Amino acid sequence: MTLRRIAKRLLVNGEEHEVSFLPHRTLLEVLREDMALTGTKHGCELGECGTCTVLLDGEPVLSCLVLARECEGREIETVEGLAGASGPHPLQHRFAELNAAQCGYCTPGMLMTAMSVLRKTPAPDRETLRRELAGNLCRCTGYLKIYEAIEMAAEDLQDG
Amino acid sequence: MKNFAYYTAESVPAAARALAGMKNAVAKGGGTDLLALLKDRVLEPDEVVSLKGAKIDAKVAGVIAATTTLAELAADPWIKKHAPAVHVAADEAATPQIRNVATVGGNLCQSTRCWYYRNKNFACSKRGDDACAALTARSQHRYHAVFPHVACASAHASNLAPALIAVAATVHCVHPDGDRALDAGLLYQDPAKGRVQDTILRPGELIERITVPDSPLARRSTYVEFRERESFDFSAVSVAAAVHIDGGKVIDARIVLGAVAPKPLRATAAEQALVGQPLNAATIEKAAAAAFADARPLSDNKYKVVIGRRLVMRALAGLKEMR
Repeated sequence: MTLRRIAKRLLVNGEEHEVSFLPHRTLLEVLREDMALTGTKHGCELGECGTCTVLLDGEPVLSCLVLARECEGREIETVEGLAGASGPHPLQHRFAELNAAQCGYCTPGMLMTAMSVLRKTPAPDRETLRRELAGNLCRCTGYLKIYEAIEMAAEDLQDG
Repeated sequence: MKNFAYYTAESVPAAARALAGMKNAVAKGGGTDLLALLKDRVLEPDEVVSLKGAKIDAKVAGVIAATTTLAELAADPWIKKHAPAVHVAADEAATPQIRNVATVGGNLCQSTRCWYYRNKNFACSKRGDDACAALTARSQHRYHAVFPHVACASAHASNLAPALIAVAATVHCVHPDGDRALDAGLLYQDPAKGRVQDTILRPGELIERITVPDSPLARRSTYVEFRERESFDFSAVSVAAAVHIDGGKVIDARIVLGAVAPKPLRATAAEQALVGQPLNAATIEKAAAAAFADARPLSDNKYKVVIGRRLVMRALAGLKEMR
């Protein structure tokens, strides 16, 4: 079988990109290797860690288990799109302030899941956070700081 | 993973026709299990037929399209009210990221988590070897079957299957040679050498939808599972149970065990222990004992029998309190 690349239009962080890649590539591989968006991390590759989490039409998914070709016409959001013109997103600001990132490898995925949670639930309680972040492992086990950072960011966002 | 040709289909029958004409093809739902199997080269298909865009008529309450995601199923208010076991099984599965992508059809057709099946360096009868590495003397098998088949000690991984069997759901299958509707309990078969799939689906046969009946049995159903981690883990043992109680007595019961055998296992002896009896502490204990009376655990998974009995009791006690 010939390895012919396919061309697809991918909408990443609000910008449309024409990308060509091998037909069996995952979204994670295309983001990192074909689009140089290396903020999304490559972890277990089998759906067991959550560090490759990106948002697809607003919902968190594992980019290592989604074929890139199936993302055409859908809205992809990665950690690179979080910061705005005025600087880091409140989530990023609070993560940095509280040292919620220890080794930092899970952080991009944590931030993206947290982003989707705060859009749906502007003031999440701890139980909601535990449930919604259950798919993001932190091997440094620094969950407490992560929850606190998200809760503080939630207040920042509500205060405008 | 090996490269493959990729096809989409506008309907499940169209996908079934396409698959029937291919020699080494697989169907793909959300892909959360399939992509991992492709990466590990457990499966090396030449063609992948995606069902993602397939249109399925499933607007009637209780009809679940095979392409429904677990997140959508968990959010279905009719299912929550009329088949609580199915709701809980979908809601507790995996993680939010997986539930947003994984489909009901894919959950039913997923492969076992057996690490010998998933690692080609070990013998596996499902993959065509003479031996089952899990059944050899020094195997690591704490998550394997406590009702092992003679040739295969894999544990079935689906948590939705026991729940759908407990509520007596019907699985509607499509094949170019004719469609059929099966009781969910008849979807699975015993393992055989060289057969990787656990279902009775023929080559090119696909699940199109599942019907959950509006019945007293389904309404009084529950699902409980034990896993080592609170989240992000497959169950080590799961129990789905449903009872229809009339006039103070159980007139119908379904008790289904997950992750204890190569296929979801109906505990018919436990069901029979309940029928005609009131649901009380004594009958619940009898049913729990009957459910695991024939278990033949391996040396490192006896805990599944102990916990499994407790789960049957917990499930039935929950049903006793329901309504």
